Amino acid sequence: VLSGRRRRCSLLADLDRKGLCGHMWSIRYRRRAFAAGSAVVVALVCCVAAVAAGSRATRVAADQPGAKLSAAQVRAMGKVTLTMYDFETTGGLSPALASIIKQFQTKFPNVHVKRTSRDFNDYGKTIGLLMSSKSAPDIAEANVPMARKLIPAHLIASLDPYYKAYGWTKQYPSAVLGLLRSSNGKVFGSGSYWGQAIGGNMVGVYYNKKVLSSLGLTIPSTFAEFQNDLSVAKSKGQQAIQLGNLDQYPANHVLSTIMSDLGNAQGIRNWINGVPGSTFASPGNINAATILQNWATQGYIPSQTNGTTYNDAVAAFNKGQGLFYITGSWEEPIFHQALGNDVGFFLLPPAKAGGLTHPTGWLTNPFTISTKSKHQALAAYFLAFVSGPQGQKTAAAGGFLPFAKTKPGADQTENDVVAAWEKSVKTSALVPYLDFATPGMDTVLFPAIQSLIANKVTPQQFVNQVQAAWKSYNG
Amino acid sequence: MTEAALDRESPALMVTSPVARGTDVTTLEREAPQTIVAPPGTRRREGAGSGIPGEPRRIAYLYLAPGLLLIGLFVLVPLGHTIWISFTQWDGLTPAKWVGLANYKQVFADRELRSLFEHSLVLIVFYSVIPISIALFLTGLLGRRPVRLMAGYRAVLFFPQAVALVVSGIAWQWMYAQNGVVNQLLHFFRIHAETAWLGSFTWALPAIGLIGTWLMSGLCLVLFLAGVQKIDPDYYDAAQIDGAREWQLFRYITLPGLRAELAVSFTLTVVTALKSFDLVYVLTGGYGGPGNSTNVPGLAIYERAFDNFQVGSAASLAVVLAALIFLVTAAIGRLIRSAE
Repeated sequence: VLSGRRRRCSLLADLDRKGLCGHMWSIRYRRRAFAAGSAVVVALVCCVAAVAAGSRATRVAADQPGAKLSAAQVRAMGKVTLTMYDFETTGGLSPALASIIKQFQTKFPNVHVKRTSRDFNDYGKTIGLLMSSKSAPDIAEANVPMARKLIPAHLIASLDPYYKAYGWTKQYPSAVLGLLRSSNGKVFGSGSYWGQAIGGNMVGVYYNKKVLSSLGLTIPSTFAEFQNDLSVAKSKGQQAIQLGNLDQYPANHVLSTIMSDLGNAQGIRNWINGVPGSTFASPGNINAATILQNWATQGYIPSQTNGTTYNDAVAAFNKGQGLFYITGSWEEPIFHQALGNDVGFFLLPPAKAGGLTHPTGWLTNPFTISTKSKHQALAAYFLAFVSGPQGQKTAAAGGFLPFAKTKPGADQTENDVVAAWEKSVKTSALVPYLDFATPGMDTVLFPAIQSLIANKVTPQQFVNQVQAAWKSYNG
Repeated sequence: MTEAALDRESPALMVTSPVARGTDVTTLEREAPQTIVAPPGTRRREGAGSGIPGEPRRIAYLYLAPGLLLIGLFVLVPLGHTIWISFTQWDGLTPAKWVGLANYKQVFADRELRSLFEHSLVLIVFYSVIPISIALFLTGLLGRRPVRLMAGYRAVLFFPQAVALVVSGIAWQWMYAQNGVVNQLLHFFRIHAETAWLGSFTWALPAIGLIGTWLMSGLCLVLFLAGVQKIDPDYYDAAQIDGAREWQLFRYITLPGLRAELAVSFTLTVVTALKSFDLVYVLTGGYGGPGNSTNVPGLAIYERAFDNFQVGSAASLAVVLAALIFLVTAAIGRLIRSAE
């Protein structure tokens, strides 16, 4: 079964290389990732279950939930099966995961990792039932909205002991860790850790080098210069920013990038985390919304953007129509495949030259551990392996931004992206995706952005509308 | 019943049947069940105590059981469950909280929801009124004349029904794009449109409605063409002899003759319009955009249940929508029957 699955994964990898999976990818990305947890009682149940399974005394001791395992302890466990559910059916993470699992099983032949992948839409609908069933998997991928559901239901285990034992706190930028922590599953930012992720992703500005030089421009170093580039491109008949927003989520990436770049990054993080008293109707956010609306009015973004699919706009950019494209790191392979090293990447420049820019970015969808798992410690050991040096290398090859340092390769665009990522991670500059704020935030925020672009609402009305949705969830 | 069976089992047939009108055997077959009382011999064969045919017998429940069981299990039980959930506040995982009518109050107070039902009304025009008008017009033209390759046309017109909506939805998305087929066609007619139709707050809903028209016209036409076949040609002949014009033939013979088909097509198309979800979902990237201009109740139910974790609220909206569909269906049935 596993080898068959692996074959399918490598087929998907081929598809992705051909750029066919890009769209699925980005859809997945708009609903970002997250994590897992629970209680002492359940932990006790797990121990009893382990004894009932007739395991040797050493294994019972080693497999205590919360324990840090050594390689020798894992090898001494006897035959064990770890079950794992994820929604990586397309894109680079699927083959990367398959490959990491293979590496793990080669190192520990007594451990069998049984992986099941489900399409994202099905997965999101069934995750609750799956995790509350008797046959809940040991490890399950979960994004933030799913975690908001699983944490209060005590279906995923707190990863606090493993964070401490395996030093995961040092692995992630502190700004990103917030959304992995919560004490109640509603307000995030502090409390227990629930998830652990393989890598990250980030939104920035792709630019067509040939178009840039033909317009007589250089990479802007301030936001004012960036806006000037837009007006120059427009005056010379070039599409300044290419964007297809029929799918609704793409413009959200543009807006959040402007917001966190010019506005109050910490304020936005608090708002996403659900910190009481936070507001979306801040002067910085209104300013960003005004800028986006102005870009639409000026024609800097295509006039028909709301009726153009993301894929069609990417295809247009790949044909040389458009100077900039503001989107995520996941799109890099597709741009690079079409434009080669003619496509570059930079972060939206700050208001003042040399200032710190705050890109939108976060982890890949994190993995959580079930409270029903009989092998919680082993599951954590596996996650430590996944995020360890070997796993990171494989994940980076799968198109994910690694938390460990990697060497530059032949793909200059990728080097640009990774360099910007490493700088942002080091300075803890990342601001998570806006639609993580509440479970249904996407259904309010995305249509509202389309209305903003189409001049159907004012920036003030826009932020009020979004804030009302936030308030109805957070109270 | 075959001809032979008629002869064997119903000796009384030749006496009671309207042979005098000169009807042939085929008409006889059709009318036989209504006109014939089963002869004594057949009754005896069924055994004593079984009563007069047509009267309820307990054995009937046995025949009904499989269907009842399936409908009960897969329609009635889930329906009851949904109604129960609609009185609770439930995220789908943690225990549900009984909230009584709160969800319903919210549904009726929500002004945004009202606009979704207005979108449904617009869709009814495109899914139901326009297709049925087109199909009636075509039926008037083609119904009674032998048309060459008619089977071929019917197949082509029915084709949209046979294609998965997700597939045709994506094809329509391409056609409605800024440089899509629709705008190319308009250019051909010297109309230089630069609009990406699905991105327009004005045109997106009619654009989606038009797909409904495309989808439903063929279905209605096939229904009506079949219906016209069973209208006795004598009526048309008689009316023509009396000097009736084409319009009068249509108005006084075809239209009343198609009453049953009209009821079926109205019900099917209106229900499809009211519960529409898939087309909107596929064409607008899942959110009913631009803005909320194409959002419909079906999509809102989905968003509440699976995006917002408001399963109770979603269930109450679903119950309201189901009740509305039920009412509309009943009303259509009654209207058509009262026209008889």
